Amino acid sequence: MMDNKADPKGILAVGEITAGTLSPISLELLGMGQKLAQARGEELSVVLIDRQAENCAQEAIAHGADRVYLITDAPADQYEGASCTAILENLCTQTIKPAVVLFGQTVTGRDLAPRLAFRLKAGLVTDCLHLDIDPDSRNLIATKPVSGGNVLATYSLQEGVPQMASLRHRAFDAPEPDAHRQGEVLPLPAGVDASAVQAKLMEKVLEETSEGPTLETAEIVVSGGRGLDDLEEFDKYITKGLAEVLGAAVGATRGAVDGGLQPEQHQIGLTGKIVGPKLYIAVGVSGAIQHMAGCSGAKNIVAINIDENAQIFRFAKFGIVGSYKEVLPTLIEKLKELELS
Amino acid sequence: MNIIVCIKQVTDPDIPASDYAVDTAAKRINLPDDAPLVINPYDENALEAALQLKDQTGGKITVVSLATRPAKRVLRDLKQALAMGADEAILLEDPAFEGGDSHSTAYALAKAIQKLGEFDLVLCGLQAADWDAGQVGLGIAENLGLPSATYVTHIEAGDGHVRMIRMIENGHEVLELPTPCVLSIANDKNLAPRIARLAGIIKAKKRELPVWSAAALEADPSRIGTAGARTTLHKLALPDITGSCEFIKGESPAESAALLVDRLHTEKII
Repeated sequence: MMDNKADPKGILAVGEITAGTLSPISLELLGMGQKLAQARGEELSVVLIDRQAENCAQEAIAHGADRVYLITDAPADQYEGASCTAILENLCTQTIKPAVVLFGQTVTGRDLAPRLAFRLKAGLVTDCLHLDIDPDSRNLIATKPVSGGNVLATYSLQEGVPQMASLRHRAFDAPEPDAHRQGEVLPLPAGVDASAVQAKLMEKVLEETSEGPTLETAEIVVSGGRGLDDLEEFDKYITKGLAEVLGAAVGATRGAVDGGLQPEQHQIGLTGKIVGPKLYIAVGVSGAIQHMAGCSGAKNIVAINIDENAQIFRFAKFGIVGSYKEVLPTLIEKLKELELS
Repeated sequence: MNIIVCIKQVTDPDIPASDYAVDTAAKRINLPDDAPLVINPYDENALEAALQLKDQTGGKITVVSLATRPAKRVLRDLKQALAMGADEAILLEDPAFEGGDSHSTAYALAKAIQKLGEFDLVLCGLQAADWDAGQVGLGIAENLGLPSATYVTHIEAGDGHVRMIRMIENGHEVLELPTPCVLSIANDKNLAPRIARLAGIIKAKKRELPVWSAAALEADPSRIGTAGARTTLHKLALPDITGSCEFIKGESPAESAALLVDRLHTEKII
């Protein structure tokens, strides 16, 4: 255990495990964390709060962690905000005193990072695209999109408390794993009991996954916006049409979600999912910057929109100006033919 | 239920990207004078969630806003909330609030909530469309030592607790939290804000609304505005968007579609 009076030191990444492996954003976080650790001449640690954390320790080391803290006895079986905050508070004030704490900008990261920041009275910059260390002060410099992505803002953070940031999906490439890397694995007690749990989980409902690939990992995403007339049209042209023939995941804009065309889980954008497919087909999507924030990682964007001045065409590689009702039937038919050939 | 809703005024997020300019020296975002100002969309969802609870269980809704612009403009939003069905509205206004971040804002709002007295729920929007931080709801909860949850899209009142739907990556959770608690509300088709009725608008127009200063909140001067901030804005810049769209133009929409498939195939994208 470290001396509590010592200066804050090292980078701590808060990792997440999904389906038994480190989530993609956690790997990206390790890549970013290692860059920052090298800039400060310090080590990168990762903490994993999960019953199966042990299985991911080597994976974390291979991707750049120098030290892995395993906490397998948290009072709640899955993520619970209040108890996880208490665990990390102990870790950051008693066990180690990290100079920088990093989170992924995920549903969990968005909930946990602010809780911990307020508990530690520490500055936090959420949803960052770039993180750097100032060579003179060795402080964290964090850049994030604001005003829905129309402006980029760069912040410095208060000294003397951990400097905290959460990183946006696909803002940084995950490092290539190196199976020979050496690191330290340290199991730690959670240090909090069931009294730290505040939210009672009554039910957990997972969406049917049989409908196709998940948005975050899909090679192709087809999304619809407010340009689509209604739920039936969305279903006919997008879900059971273009997306089905391409084996693509289905996305939607906030406008389409608010209009009831798709459930919120399909929302792509600043406050929804962040995707980075090889091909992103946007149908009836205006291209609001808040939406584009969620798909700017796509390698190729194709836009189909009736309005030739729609902002989506500023981001697209290929575009067709026209009504989806006239364009999509042939598009679907030709894609089917291509598949059969 | 006794519900407090925190709302923030933002520039309409739907204004075109070309309206944004940055004054790098002053570290300020410049927008046209006539850019419309609206209640932050997620805060409207939070207000609607409160109104739906009031419809079901009765009670009282108090709306609080911390002014970051001329008070007159923000008062208009508070009156809109009253016209929609809120009962009370309070404006927090003081030059000392300027230059704050999520820490200073959450502290000031928490002090105002304490001053209001007893309540069951505090509702906030998930994040504001200007600085997109998404911290204030959780910050209010930490300041008040209350339980909290984020990504909430539906609330049911219980006895000494609330039950809620919380969105997660691939589905949702049903959670229960004891009251009082603080919830950050996400968007959902069932939380589209209602339209104020004319009678409500007329009534709200006549109301004199209380304005509380930092002193009225008995706020610690070191925790509000610039003094209370834990982050410092260093630089603002416009993102670099370089579009080079190749428009596919056939004789007919069907031909365009066929050409697009050929193009995607030869480019080895599909």
